[in-house]
Amino acid sequence: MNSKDDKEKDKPIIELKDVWKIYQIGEVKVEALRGINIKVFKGEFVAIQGPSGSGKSTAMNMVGCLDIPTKGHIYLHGRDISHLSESDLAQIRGKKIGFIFQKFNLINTLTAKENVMLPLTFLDIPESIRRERAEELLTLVELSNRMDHKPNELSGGQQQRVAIARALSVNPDIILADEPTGNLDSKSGSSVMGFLQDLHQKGKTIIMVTHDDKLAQYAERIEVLKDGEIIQTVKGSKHHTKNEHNIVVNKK
Amino acid sequence: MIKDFFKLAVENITHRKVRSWLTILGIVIGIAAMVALVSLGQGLQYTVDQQFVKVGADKITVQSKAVVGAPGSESGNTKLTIADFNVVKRSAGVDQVVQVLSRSGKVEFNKKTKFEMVRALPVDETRKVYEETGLYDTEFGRTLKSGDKHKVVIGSTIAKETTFGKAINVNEKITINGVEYTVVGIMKTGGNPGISSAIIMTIDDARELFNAPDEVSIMMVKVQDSRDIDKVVENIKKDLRRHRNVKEGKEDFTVQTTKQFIESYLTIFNVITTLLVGLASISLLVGAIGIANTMYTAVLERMREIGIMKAVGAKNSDILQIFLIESALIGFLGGAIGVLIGVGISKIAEFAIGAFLGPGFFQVFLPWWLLVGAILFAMIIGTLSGILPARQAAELPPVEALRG
Repeated sequence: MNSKDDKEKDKPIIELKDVWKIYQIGEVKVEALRGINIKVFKGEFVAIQGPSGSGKSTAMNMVGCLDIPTKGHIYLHGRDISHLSESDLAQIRGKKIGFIFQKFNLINTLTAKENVMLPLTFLDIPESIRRERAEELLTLVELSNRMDHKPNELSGGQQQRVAIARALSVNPDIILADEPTGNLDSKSGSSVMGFLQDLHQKGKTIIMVTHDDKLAQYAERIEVLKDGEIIQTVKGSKHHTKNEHNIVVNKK
Repeated sequence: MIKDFFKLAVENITHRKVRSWLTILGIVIGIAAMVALVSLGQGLQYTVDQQFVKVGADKITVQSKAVVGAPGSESGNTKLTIADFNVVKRSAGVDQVVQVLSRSGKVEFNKKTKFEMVRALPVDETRKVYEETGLYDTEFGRTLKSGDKHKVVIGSTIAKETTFGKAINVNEKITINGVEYTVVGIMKTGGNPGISSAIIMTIDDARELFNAPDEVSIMMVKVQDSRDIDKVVENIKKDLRRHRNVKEGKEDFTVQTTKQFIESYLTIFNVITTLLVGLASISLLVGAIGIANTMYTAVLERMREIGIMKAVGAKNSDILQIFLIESALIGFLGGAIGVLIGVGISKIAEFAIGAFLGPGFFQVFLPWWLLVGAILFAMIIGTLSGILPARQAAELPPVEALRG
């Protein structure tokens, strides 16, 4: 028999079980996901890779608890979340998941620091703690001198680093990155990927959605998605190569 | 958390300055109009009430229904006369009656000619009735006394330099309808504006000057016991009806207590105030629609922002609160600025009326509850206008919002 620790390790942090998402557009039914199964364990770096239209954005929404499936189940820490209300999902997102988006998605009226503090605001954490945490994280992403700048005063790479800091603010179980280098030049892109690898080495669970098979190579495991189905699961070749900063990161 | 939401709302309002100010302006106009109207209206009511207190609760006014001096075949018949005066004097419960003759006179002074109201009063023992109101007190010189001939007391407004280009002083001479009169007194400033701009002479002088030996414009009646005042009104009505041979309900005269007299003015005034407040309400309604419109636009504009906030853990209720705080804040700003402007308008009006009728006569009514109430009201309007847009924002599915 396994020990208790082993049992915990065997349990995925998030599991998609026969997940279907069907959109009704007018009279046409579009099957964006057709019964996909994904398991992500604690500390893994998984890429969901596929061309546009493959259903990877829909898959990201499912993993990120932004949407619920038409059929099938999603388990977060063993708990079925596929039928929860939007407010319950919001609370789960707020505590368990840190998002990094292609378009950074910072709030333009707030400074870098305030953006990083925002997820903690919704958890009703006292301002002094929020401020301290935001400063610490922005220092970690090497933006200690840009904390009071607003997003439009920062470069794309800097904005994405603010987004990483924001994703880390609640110390989430999962970092979910959606085309994190898609709007960046190759240098900033590598730097962002460097940070993600760093986080992974520190034990964070990372799920990255991308169309770019070269970028996907950074992950330990790549789930290749096509036409709403997982057609292949492969190992990433560039996994754990933190210092390799010369890869070409294609712009979408 | 509310504090943070408040900060977010402020950021959003200052972010789109021009649109925010235009939206706020919509509320400012409505609230300013409302505050100004209520404070002026209530101030006027208070002033009228004060006049009533001065004149007293034991006075009855008897007047002809015909407009004094109006052209028309029957106007002569409906005028009150000395015979009517004698009837009223004998009515049960009546203490004393003052006969007043009011006419417009052509007044000359400093080579300028103006038409002014001449009010003729008796100087016999009935003078006490009007003297006890204090309305005819003089500030300079003296009041008229028995035996005065070709002497007048003038109102403070007439004495002012602005009326005849030169101030009129005691002992100076003015000409009324070609006859010279000596000014023996100038009445106090403030008080009744009708009296401040009148010329007072003895009734004997007036009857001669206007060739009106029999006419009585107004009778001022003092009752024996103010508790019986309504009964006395009925007595006078009954006696006059019989004397003038008119049926009940067809009276060509009015008999009113001072209270009724004032109330009849207030009724008209209240109708006007209600109409104006109605107009101000319409402007507030338009302002509210403006807020709703701005908030709907804000929801569309900030679709992605709403998505981001939801992605990082904002519940529907959080988004709802953020948007409601924002629209309430717009209402609050509109209310606060509106109150300031409204108070400004009333104070200017107070000053203008003071310059016209004498300082201290009219004071606007500006209690704290009116000001606080107006701001609260504006906030409520803001919040209500924001409800639908805020709900729309709150209920946006995060996936859709993030695409926006």
